[in-house]
Parts: sequence; structure tokens; C-alpha cells
Amino acid sequence: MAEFAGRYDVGSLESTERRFSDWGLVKRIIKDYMLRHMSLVVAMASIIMAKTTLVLSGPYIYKVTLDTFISGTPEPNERWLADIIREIAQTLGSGTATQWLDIVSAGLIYVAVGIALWGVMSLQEYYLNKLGLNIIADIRSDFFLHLEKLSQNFFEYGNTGKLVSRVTNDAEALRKLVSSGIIGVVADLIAAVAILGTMFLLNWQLALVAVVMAPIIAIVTTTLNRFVRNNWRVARQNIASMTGKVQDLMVGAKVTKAMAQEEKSLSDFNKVNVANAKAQIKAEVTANIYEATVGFFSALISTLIWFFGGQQVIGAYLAIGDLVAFTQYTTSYLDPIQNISTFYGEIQSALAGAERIFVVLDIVPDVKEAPDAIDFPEGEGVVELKDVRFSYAKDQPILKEINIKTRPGERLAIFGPTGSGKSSIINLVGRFYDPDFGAVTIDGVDLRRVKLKALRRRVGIVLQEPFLFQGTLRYNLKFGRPNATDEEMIRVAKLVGIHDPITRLPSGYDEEVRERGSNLSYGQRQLVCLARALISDPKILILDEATSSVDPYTEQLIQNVLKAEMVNRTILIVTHRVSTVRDADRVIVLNNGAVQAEGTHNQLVKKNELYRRLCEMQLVKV
Amino acid sequence: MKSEYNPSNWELTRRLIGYIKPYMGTYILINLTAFGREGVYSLLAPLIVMLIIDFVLVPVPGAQNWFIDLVKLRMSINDRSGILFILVGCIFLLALIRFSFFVIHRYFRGVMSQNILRDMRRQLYEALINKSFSYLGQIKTGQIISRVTSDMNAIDLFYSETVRELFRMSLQLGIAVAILLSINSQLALITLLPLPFIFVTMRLYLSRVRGRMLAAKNQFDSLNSVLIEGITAQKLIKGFGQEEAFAARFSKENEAYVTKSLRTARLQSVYTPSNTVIAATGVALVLVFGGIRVLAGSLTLGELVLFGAYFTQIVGPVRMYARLMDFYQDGVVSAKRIFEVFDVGRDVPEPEHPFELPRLKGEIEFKEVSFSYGGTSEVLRDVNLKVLAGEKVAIIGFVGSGKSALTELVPRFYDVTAGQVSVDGHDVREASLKSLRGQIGIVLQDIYIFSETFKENLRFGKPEATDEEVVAAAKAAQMHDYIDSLPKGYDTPVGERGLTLSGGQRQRIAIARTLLTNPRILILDDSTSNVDAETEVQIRKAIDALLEGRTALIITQRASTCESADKVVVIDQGQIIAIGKHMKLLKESEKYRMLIESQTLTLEQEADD
Repeated sequence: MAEFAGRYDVGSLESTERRFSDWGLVKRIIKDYMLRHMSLVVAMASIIMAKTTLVLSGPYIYKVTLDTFISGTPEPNERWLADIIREIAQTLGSGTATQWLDIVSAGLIYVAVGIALWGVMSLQEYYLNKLGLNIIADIRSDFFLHLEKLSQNFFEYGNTGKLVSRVTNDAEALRKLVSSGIIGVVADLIAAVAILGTMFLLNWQLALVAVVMAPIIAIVTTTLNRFVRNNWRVARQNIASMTGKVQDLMVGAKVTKAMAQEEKSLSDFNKVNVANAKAQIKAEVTANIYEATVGFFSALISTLIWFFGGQQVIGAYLAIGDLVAFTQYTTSYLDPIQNISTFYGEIQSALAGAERIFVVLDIVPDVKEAPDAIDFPEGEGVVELKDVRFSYAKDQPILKEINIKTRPGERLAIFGPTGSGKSSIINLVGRFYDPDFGAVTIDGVDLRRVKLKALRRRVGIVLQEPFLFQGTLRYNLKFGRPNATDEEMIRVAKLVGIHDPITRLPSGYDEEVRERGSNLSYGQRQLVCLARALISDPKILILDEATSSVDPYTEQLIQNVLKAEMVNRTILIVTHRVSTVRDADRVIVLNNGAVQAEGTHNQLVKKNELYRRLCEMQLVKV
Repeated sequence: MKSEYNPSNWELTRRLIGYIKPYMGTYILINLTAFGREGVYSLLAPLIVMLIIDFVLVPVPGAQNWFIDLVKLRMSINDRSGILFILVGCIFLLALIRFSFFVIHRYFRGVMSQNILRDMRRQLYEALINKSFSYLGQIKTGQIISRVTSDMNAIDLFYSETVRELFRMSLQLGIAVAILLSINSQLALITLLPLPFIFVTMRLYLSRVRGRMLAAKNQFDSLNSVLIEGITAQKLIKGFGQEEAFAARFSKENEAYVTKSLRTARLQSVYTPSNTVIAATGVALVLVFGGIRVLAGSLTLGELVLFGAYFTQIVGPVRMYARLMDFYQDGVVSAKRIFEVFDVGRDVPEPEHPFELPRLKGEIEFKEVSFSYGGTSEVLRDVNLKVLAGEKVAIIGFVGSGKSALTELVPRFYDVTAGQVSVDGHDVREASLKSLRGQIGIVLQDIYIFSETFKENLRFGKPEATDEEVVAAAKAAQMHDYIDSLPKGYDTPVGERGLTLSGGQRQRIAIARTLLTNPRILILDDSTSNVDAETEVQIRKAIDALLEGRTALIITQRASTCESADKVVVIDQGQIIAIGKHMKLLKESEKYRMLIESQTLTLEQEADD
């Protein structure tokens, strides 16, 4: 495998550079995700309207009751509500109305509004959550499906811990963006506009004072914005590297403990941990300065209104009651702005998260299915590499002019020193990568022309590292072909010799596999993986050191099984073990990315110096 | 990670509050600045507004105020506009004070909660790293990741919101209630009647929401686990063409998370705004009973308006309580999940009085050892084996025979279920883990390379190693030439999980890494050695360098290893069935012959040729 040739560089993925504008991100979330849930969005919009009305009506009822029934100074435009209250009072008092009953019925209406508000707010909260959760589920799903499409090299250099952080933390932050962010802002803006309208009706000069400050606030905030967002981005990256450390620990625990390096590991983690705490504090503080600035401006507006309004009262252009009412409206007009700034930190944090997700979503996989891809025609499973040149990085060629062709039903072993390009051949035949030059074909069809799914149905690969998925052994064995019957599964399990160990487990085939499972040995897990590939019934089977931890005796049995099972099928074996290679129909010795020799074991022992030396070293005389 | 671990809310809360202790000073500052931030402004600003109305806008004849007098006297300002300007300026000044208090307050708040989170994360990591292997084998990475991330966020809210706001809100509530009582105690008592209902609904809510929250969080674990698997095993998934099936599995978890979260959301969305009803009822009571009193003449209109204004001051904290309860509950549920990691799974404990092993000679003895991995069938049965200092023992057996289990008992990755394992005569369970594991070098099949530089990886077991030592070890392990040929040499970072290295290179790094720690006992698994013609000799040299002067247990399938070993141990189904020299076993043990046969045949043929 190539060393350090990054077509994708983790560094560039984690850079602090801005790639999207705030608005660009928000637009994308709205367009790609919110609009998918149109009915929820419409529901939210109507709920917000209802809520605004209810919120504004409470104080109005209070005021009308005070004016009409208590202080006895009714205003003509409040009559309609007063009439309704009187009517209810009359029904309550069965025809006879008293002032006392009027107030009680007003109180009842007030409580009714409160209950209605409760209902509306419950709905709002619920739908807000629902919309947020759904959008986040969509984004997570898109992200995940996209990852599954990305080519192999993305993962060779990507840090899975950091990717995990993107899909958990960043996606979760996005949820806040949707609920408190986009929807909250819209609700607040609606309220602000409604209140501003009322203010203009009351006194347009004073209303202007409030409006004029708006652009100033806008300028100041956009300037601060840059810092806030950058700091949140740094904070998010810190969380990601911390997540990476924890994942490292989980996977590498054995080494750490074996070498008694718990303390060092802890101190390494603590460095990241401390850096993270610092970054979080910094981000929070900048966000707070922003919030405080907006608070400051809102106080400034109040002050100005008291001053100019006061002048008007002194000059007798304005009634004192109107000024008091106006200042109350000013506070409620600024409330939404305050709210937006309160959530600003969260929103920025979420935007930074959104950006980190979209950056990955926008990576175009370089192994792509052709638009006119075809299904595989039936064939004998002949694999051919024609003049193949391949490299992971530009000037580090791994394969130089490789020509290999299997014969129908052949067991071909590929054998070669470290870095000779064995694994690259497997990567090409499985089309995890495309060759730089030349072509890889199966039954004469260029792999770039066929559907990926068809290709992978035809080719089964067993890797050295025996990875088992969470779930039962049954799930794992049938992973490649979920509709296989239990009989087939058990038959193959018996063939590779894992049926007995499995039945000895407490739940047999229904036993849950553990993540770093101790219920099966490494060799047994390799056998499960081999069985998994056999059950998926491929035409071509590739074994990449697939039985390295299985004892030679068992391996021999398995080789015989494979021979019987894979009649008329092709087996490609990559291995270093002579005992594995020996039975192959043909061996190709790969060296420095070129074919050095080929032939049967017996031929090679005679004609190839390197091959013979290896045999002498691995085998013993009796 | 489902367990009987089930502490009460109160225990969890007390434990969470315990984390504040080291930051008591900061905590007090937070509360003080909170008061400076809101208290000063909310108390003084209304007073100034009152002054503006009473002395500037609608001057009350004959009224006196020391502040107004002060302004008139000291600044010799006498016109209404001038006084208005001064008073408005005071409001502005208060806003400035609030502004600065706000920033300071938030700063301290961030410092405290982030520091506590940092402590907690550190503790979590420490707990994890000291866990036994059987615990680590069961726990899923996804479970841990969500604890480090989303659970910590919930706890952040607990400290930054609940702990702080609870104090401030209670203070504000108390002051407002006191003012109401002073205006009209009878009316105040009537209007405060609905308030206790807050606590009733709170109790009802808390008792129901905890289970649902926990279910949602646990579902989040499963979701994360599938995600991590999808990312780490993507090559396999693609290789089998199972993207769709796996995506379906993912979708199932994803949807289950939405469903379970919505179940919590449904409760929350009913509860959180429920206090608006209580507040509205209170306001209505003010209106009705206050109004009746005004009509009866026992209350002035002004007093009623004032009463109403102060009553709304209560509504704020009351509403906030509901939010705080959500944060609180969320924090406590997450705390449970984190404390569980702290408290559970210490089945290979450091002994109470750990014995510091001296430099070992390297004797190992297994006495009537039986072993099973937590409840499953026995992996080893009645194993007796004595390894002398400096002896090289090859351990061979069929797949799944218990070879690895045998070696893992020596560094105490697991503890025996019966019998005893000792080194130099000391029971391994009595030695300090550090002095034990520090003297045992392990090169296993599953070689883990950290996503750091070569240098960091090589000196992992001995962080204080000098560059010369690192290079010397790399040379002995035949890795120096390769590393040196890289543009950044030893400072080149290795891809995650060593993906960019071949199996053979990874193994040689592991050998070099172990060489540096200079262990007395070696546990080696040579079955994955990706040796090849060119490096076979070199790798042999590397391993020989590693073996020299050390006791070694070598798990192997290679005849050549058995041939050169001092002693070969044949294990079958958890029992030692034969011990002896290679040649002796060839004659005496049929099973051994089976294991070796395929590696001898060819050369016989060769010899025949």
C-alpha cells in the first residue's frame, strides 16, 4: 500500500478556512432539508402566527378590563372586547350582570387565553423538536450514505474519529440551528415586525429612532460575527480531535495497557482536553461579547426614546401614558433581537458544524459508477490486468505495467515482498481504486463500465483483519447475502470448521459478536469472515492473507474445501505463507510493482532464487 | 452497558454538585456577577423611570427627592430638559454596568463549566484506561463517544444554566414575592395560590421523563455504533455490495432515535409551557380580586397597576424553572451514563497493597490454571506449565485451542478463574500492574499503530527514549532504512490505524516499540508475520534481537519457530497435550505432526527430486 500519498488530506479537511458564507449555509439547510418537511414547516408557521396573536392579546385584555370595568375610562376602539366580556358575564349571571361578574368573566377569558397559549406552545415545542430531529436524521443519513459512496482513499487518510465527530456532534449542533436558529429567528422577526407596526401607529417619530439604530446594530454585529464564527470553528475541531483521541484509546487499549503507558496516554489526552476547554471558553466569551453588545444597544435605544419622548412630553406633543406604552413596546420590540443574539452563539456553533458536514458532503468520489453502467454478462470469472499502471500519489508508482490473466477456474497466488503492490492489485480488482493507465477486466469487461453492485456481487474479498459487525453471528455470516438459508449457512460453517465452536457458544448462531470480541479467537474470526465470503457466493474469491492466523493443518483442510467449493470459479490468493501458496495452480511473484516470475510451486522452487530461499526458511526438515 | 447501576436523582445531583468544589471561588463570583448583571439594573432602572415621570414629565407639586436635589444642587441644572438628560444618562450608565457585568459573568460561567467538563472528561478517560479487558471487550466505541460528546454537552447545560440560574431565579422570585406581600398581603396570598402547582407538575414530569430520556440516549449510542462501524468497515461493506442493506440498518437506528427522542419531546412540550397557565391564572386572580377591591375602594388604581407590574416579575422565574428542570433532568440522566463508566467494570483491580516487582529474571509458572471469558465455556482447563528464565517456548495448537488466552493471563489482561499464574514466584495478582506490564513485551496479531508520527509510535512504551535509542531500535527491527527514506523521516505521521503501512511494516514497528521498553518477558505472535523473501532474514534478525536474553512465549504456527524453540507446548481444546522438544514431539505427538506436516512435506519432495 502506498505510503502517505494523500489525495485527501486530513489537514485540509480540518482547516479553519471559511468555505461557506452564513447565508449560503442557511440557504442550503432550508433548501435541501427544511423544504423536505413542508407540512411541518407550514404547521410551524401557523403555530407561530397563533402564538404571536395570543401573546399580544393577553396584555390587551388586561388593559381593556382595567379601562372599562375598573377605572371606568373606556376607549371607543376597545368596545368590541368589552361587549364580549359583558355578554359572557350576563350568561354567567343568568341575565343579571354586575361589575363584579364582568371582571370575573374577563379573568376567565384571560385564563382561557393562557390555556390556549399553553396548547399552542406545546404544539410549537413538539413540532419544533420533530422538525429538528427529522432534519438532523436526514442530514446524518445523507452524510452516512455519502461516506459509503466515497472512494477508498478518502478513508486511508481520513481520521474516522473525526468523521464520527462530524456525524454526531456537528449534526446535533445543526439540530439547534434548525430549532432555535432558523425557526426561532423567523418567529422573532414576525413578532418584531408586528410590534414595530404598532409603534409606528402610536408615534412615528419615536418609532424612527428605534428603526434608525437597526443598521448600526447590523454593522457592529457583522464585524463581531467573524470572530465568533472562527472561534466556534476552532472549538468544534477541538472536540473532533478529542473524540479522535477517545476512539484511539478504545481501539488501542491493548497496546497502551500492555506497555503500561496509561499515564502517558492520559497526559496526551489531557493536552487535547485542556486545549478543548480553552477553545470552548474562548468561543463562548466571544459569543457573549456579541450578546452583550446587542443588549447594550437595546439599552441605548430605550435611553434615546426616553430622552426624545421626554422632550416631546415636556413640549406637550405627547401624552405621558403614550410614552409609557411606547417604552413598553420598545422593550418587546428589542426582545426578539435580544433572543436572536442569545442564540447567536449556538447558531454560530451550529453553522460551524453545518460547514464541517457540508465540506464532506461536497467531496466527489473519484471511483464513480458510469452513467451508462451495465450489468455483468455471465462469464467464467476470468480476471485480467492489462498494462496496468497505478499509483496513490503522483510520482510514486506502485504498479508498473502489470499484465496478469487468470485462467477459468484457476487458483492463482500472488506472492511478493512488502510494498511490491500485492494489496494494490486487490484494490484494483475490487475497484476500490481505478488504474492510472491500462485496464482491469473481468470476462473481458472493463470494470469501469459495469455497475459497482454487479461487480461486488461477483467478487468476494476476505481481508486479513477479521472485522465482524455488531450483531449476531448469523447476521455476520449472512452479511453478503441476507437471503441465504440457515441450511446454506450451516453447511458453509461446517466446511470451514467453525460450526462446532459456534454451537458451543451459549446462544450459538444467535450469539452477539462483541466489538473487540473475546468470544471468538482471532483465527476463528478469520474463518467466520471466510465463511461470510463463501456464503455470498462470488464467482471470484480474493483472499488477502485471509487465513494468516489459522493453523496450517486447518488451513490445509480449508484449501481442500475451497477447491471443492470453487469449481469453475477463480480464486486469487495473496499470502506470504508457502504452505498456502503451495497448492495454488499458479504462483505469480511480484516484485517492485512488476511481475518477476510465474509458475507452479515446484517450478518456482527450481527457477526462482528468491522463492526457493523463502521456502527453505519457512519449511523444516524432518 | 445495561446494568443494575441505578443511583437516585439525588445521589447523582450531589455528585454533580461535588464537582463545583474546586471552583468555589469562581462559583461565588458567578452568582455575584449575576446579581450585578440583572439585579442592579432591574432594581434601579424602574426607580429612575419613576423619577423621570414624577419629576420631569408630570411634576408632582411639592415632591422632594434627594437624588433630584443632588442633581440640582451639585450641577446647578434646573430646567426639566437638563434633568431629563441626566436621568436618561443614568439609565445609559446602568446599561453600561450591566454590559460589563454580563461579560464578566459569562466568562466565569464558561470557565467553571468548561473546567468541570475537562475534569470529568479526564476522569472518564482515566476510568476507561484502567478498565479490565473484559469490560473494554464488551463496551462499544459508540457508547463511549456519545458520552464524551453529547452527554458532556448536557452536563455543560446543567452547570452553566441550572446551577447558576436556580440561585438567581430564586432570589428574584423571593424579592418579588416580598414586595407583593408588602403592597397588599391579602391580595398577594390569593394571587400566589397557583404557584405551588408548579412543583406538582414538576414532580409529575420528572418521574416520567427520566426513563424516556435514558432510552433516547441509549438509542443514540446504538446509532453511533452503527455509524462508527459503517465508517471503519466501509471497505467490507462495499466489498460485499451491501451498502443498501447496511444503510437500511443505519436508517432503522436513525429512525428509532427520532421516535425515542420524540417520545421525550412529547412530554417536554406539554410540560415546559404548562407554567404559562399557572402564570395566566395568577394574573387573572390579580385582575379579578384586585379589581373587586378597587371597586370596593380598598385598593387604589395605582396600587393595582403596580401590583400587576410586580406580579409579572414573578412570571419570568416561574417560566424559567420549567426550562431549568429540563436542563437539570437532561444533565442528571447524562451524569448517570458517565458515572456508570466510572463505577462499573473493575474486575482486574490493582491489588490493595501492590507489590513492586523487582527486575525480573523471567520465570513464569501456570499452576492448575482454568480460565473462561466471563460466563462462556472454559477456554483453558487445568493448565500446568513452568517456563524457566530465558527459555523460548513455542505454543502451537489448532485454531481456537486457547493459545492466546494462555499468554494473556501473564500480563493480567484477564484474571484466571481458578489456579494461579506467577512470575519469579510472585502471583501476578499481587504485583502492581505497572511493574508487571512494564516488564512484559507483547507483539500480537492485532497490531495497533497510533495516528501519530513514527517517532511517537516507536517510543510509545518509553516516552523518555532519546532519538538515538529510537533509531537504534528501528535499525534492529529493520525499519530504519524505510523510515529514513521518507521526506520527514521519523516525524512522518502514520495514517490512522496504520492503514498506510503494510502488515509487515506494522509488525516491525511493534517489534521496535517493544525493543525500546527492554522487557524481561516477551509474548510474541509470529503467525501474522508478513515476511517475504527480501526481509525474511532481516525480520528473523529483528525477532532474534528481541528474543535475546529474555523469556519468551511465542504463539506460532511455523515449524521453523518450533524447531528453534527450547520447548514446544501443544495445546488442544484448552489443555496442554504435549510438551517437549520439536524432534521429540514429532515422534510422540500425533496432533503435533498434524500441525507441522504441511510445512515439512515439500522439502521432503524437494529432497526426493
